[in-house]
Amino acid sequence: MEGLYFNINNGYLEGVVRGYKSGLLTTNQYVNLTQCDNLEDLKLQLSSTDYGNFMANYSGPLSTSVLQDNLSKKLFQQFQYVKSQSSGKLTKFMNYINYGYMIDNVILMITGTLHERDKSEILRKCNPLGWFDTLPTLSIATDIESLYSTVLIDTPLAPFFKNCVSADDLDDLNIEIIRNKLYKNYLESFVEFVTSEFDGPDQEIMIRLLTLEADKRVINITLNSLNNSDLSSEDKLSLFPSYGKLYPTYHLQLSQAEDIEQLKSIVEYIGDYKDIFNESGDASGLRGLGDWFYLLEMQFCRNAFTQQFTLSTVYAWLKSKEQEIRNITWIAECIAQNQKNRIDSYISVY
Amino acid sequence: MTEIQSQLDKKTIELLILIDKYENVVNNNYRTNFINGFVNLSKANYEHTGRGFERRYGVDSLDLRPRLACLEVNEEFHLVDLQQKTKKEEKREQMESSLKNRKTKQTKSKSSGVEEFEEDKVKDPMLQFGGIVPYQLRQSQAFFKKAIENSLEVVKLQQEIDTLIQEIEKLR
Repeated sequence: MEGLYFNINNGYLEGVVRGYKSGLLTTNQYVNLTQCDNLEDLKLQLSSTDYGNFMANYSGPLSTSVLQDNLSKKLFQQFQYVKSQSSGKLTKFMNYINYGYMIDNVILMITGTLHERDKSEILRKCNPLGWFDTLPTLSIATDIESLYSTVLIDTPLAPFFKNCVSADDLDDLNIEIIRNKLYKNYLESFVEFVTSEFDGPDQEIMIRLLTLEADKRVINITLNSLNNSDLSSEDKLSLFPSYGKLYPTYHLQLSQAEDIEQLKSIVEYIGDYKDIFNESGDASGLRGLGDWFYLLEMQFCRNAFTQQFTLSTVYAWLKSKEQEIRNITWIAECIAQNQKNRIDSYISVY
Repeated sequence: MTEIQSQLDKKTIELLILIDKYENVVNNNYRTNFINGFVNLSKANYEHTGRGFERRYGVDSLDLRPRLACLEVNEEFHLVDLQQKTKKEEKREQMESSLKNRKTKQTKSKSSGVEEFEEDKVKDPMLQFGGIVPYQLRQSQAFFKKAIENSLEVVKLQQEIDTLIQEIEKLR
């Protein structure tokens, strides 16, 4: 049924997004990139792809961070083009995508201010996908309660602050807790939006992607706080999004896990995630974990394009483009550090 | 004459052994620890669970507030881990005070906590990058710590080689 009325409002934009998708780098193009000897070569190779003359206006010394900044500017331009022409449900959907980046920017501002870094420097590092007008005013950060009542209550992030506002001092661990709680609320709200507003293949694709995101966060929080005695298991449990294949059965056990073996045994209950610790089963054991999740996400994104008349192609394209920028940055780092033996750990599915 | 000759030989052999040790440390450990540290840092940046590209782990996101160092070189030219030292002292204090007034213990630690902690506590520099960091960043920190130990060894060896060379020249 979605095919009947979709093209009236969203036909052009779906066409544009599919055009962007066909400009994503393929495996052969990645192989060409890995054979570059220095960053100038890399820039030259990239100019023959969809990125074109993305560094035409830059004349200083080339470094991987400069490269990454310019690549992400291109991503932002494309996203803005689609968003400025969107209407109705698609605009709301793209707003939801923006909220995730807004959370990152808020935390970046607060952290940067506490670390006594220069305000203009912090603003330059903020992700343009998460920009909102009152972001610069967050540099008056003293505690989260006053920030919320003066600045954040008027932003679209206000509803995500329930259970996050407390009178505790802002130190590094508390900021991390706030970040994760905000993201948990955001993810749950996003899932609610998708279940109520989307239907058919759209809903199916988005639910699959958001489930993976939720489970990925749970596993990463557990893994990265295994030896951290400052975070209690109740705190950890409050950071897990109430969604995903691991919810609700395994969240309690995961929050109480104390070593990697326990984590492995719990995660292996879920059929889809059984391989994540097996594939990388060498002495370091964990090398492939992040890569494995990214690979799964990319496969879901690639499959999302097989359905027509869906809004989820925007999300799938955005995630794929982000992964592409991550890949190119990794290749650039390996070239710059002369570590070509590790250059093949990028992820390419197209 | 022969005594001087044998001393010279002995010192030359010592010098050669030291130079071999030096090459070993510099090429096999010092270099590779730095390389692995940087590679793991790039990997942490690649895989960090943030959604933006703000290069969360790097020179741009350091905490610029003044704070105490975690590693110190003492008079015997050994590396002292001040974090472990303060942790042990804190444990000892806790054990001692728990035997005394239990009621007053809590209020005492709260009032002195706020002022002393900011200045005297030695914090893990990892915390400036966030409370929960990827394991690659921890691996990177471990490699860089080893590299610091290696650099201490390198400096020691350099000094010993220099003194030996001076002694050999004197004997000649």
